[in-house]
Amino acid sequence: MNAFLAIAGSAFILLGALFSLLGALGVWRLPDAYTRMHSASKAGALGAILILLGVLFATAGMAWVETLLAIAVLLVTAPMAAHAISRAGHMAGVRPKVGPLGDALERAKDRVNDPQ
Amino acid sequence: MVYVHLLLASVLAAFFAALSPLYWLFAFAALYPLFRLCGLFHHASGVYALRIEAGLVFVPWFTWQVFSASLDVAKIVLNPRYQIEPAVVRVPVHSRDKRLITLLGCLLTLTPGTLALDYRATTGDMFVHVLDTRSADAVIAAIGEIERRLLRWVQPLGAEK
Repeated sequence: MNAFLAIAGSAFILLGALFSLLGALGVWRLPDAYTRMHSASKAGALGAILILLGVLFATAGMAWVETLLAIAVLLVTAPMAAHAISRAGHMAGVRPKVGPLGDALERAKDRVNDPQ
Repeated sequence: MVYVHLLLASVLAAFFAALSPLYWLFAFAALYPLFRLCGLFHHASGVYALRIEAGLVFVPWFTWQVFSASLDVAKIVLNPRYQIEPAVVRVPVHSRDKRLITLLGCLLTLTPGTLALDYRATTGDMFVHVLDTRSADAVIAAIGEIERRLLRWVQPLGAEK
């Protein structure tokens, strides 16, 4: 049982570290602010959650209140922060790089400003 | 109703064993058939039991969604020659409940590859930034699926008036 807990804890922590590394790589590789936000907000939060789950296993459930509280806070704050920053960016006029589908929010704003 | 359940589970766990998380979980699970049974003559308990079932389905499904989407994003990041095609897609949201829409925005922002940008209450449209997509319909379908499953959790018997 103890060996299983140790292996599961290590696996979770390694996986979380790998996720965080992927997030960092994404910030480096992706082209503009919004696509980088995808990488920075989500990979960081998911990596941290995996590491916290690893802590839960490694302590054999001793630190369950702290761990679950930290996971809940991460789950609530990470998407809020990503949404708030990217919405503020769009309102401030930072244009996303887009493919052939284009920017529907930009078109909607143009319709409001200029009904033609 | 959820407070009653939590309180009963705590009392049961403390009475029969210790108040450790494992015993507490056992007590929580053991009380679920009671609510199911009470639902036969007490409407609120029945709705609550349905909600537990929908929640138990939703949480693993959403976790799986997050992980499969993470793998897609990891492939994009690790492939140096891949050209991404980001887009901002207009997604019509069927619900008008502000709390539900906030929850939907949070959940789709938590899924790698989609990011809620803005919401227009007048038209009921959500604007979603997508990391890599070639069709808006696929995005709308994926978000509609999250909303449908979320609605089944929040309102198991359909919209209450």
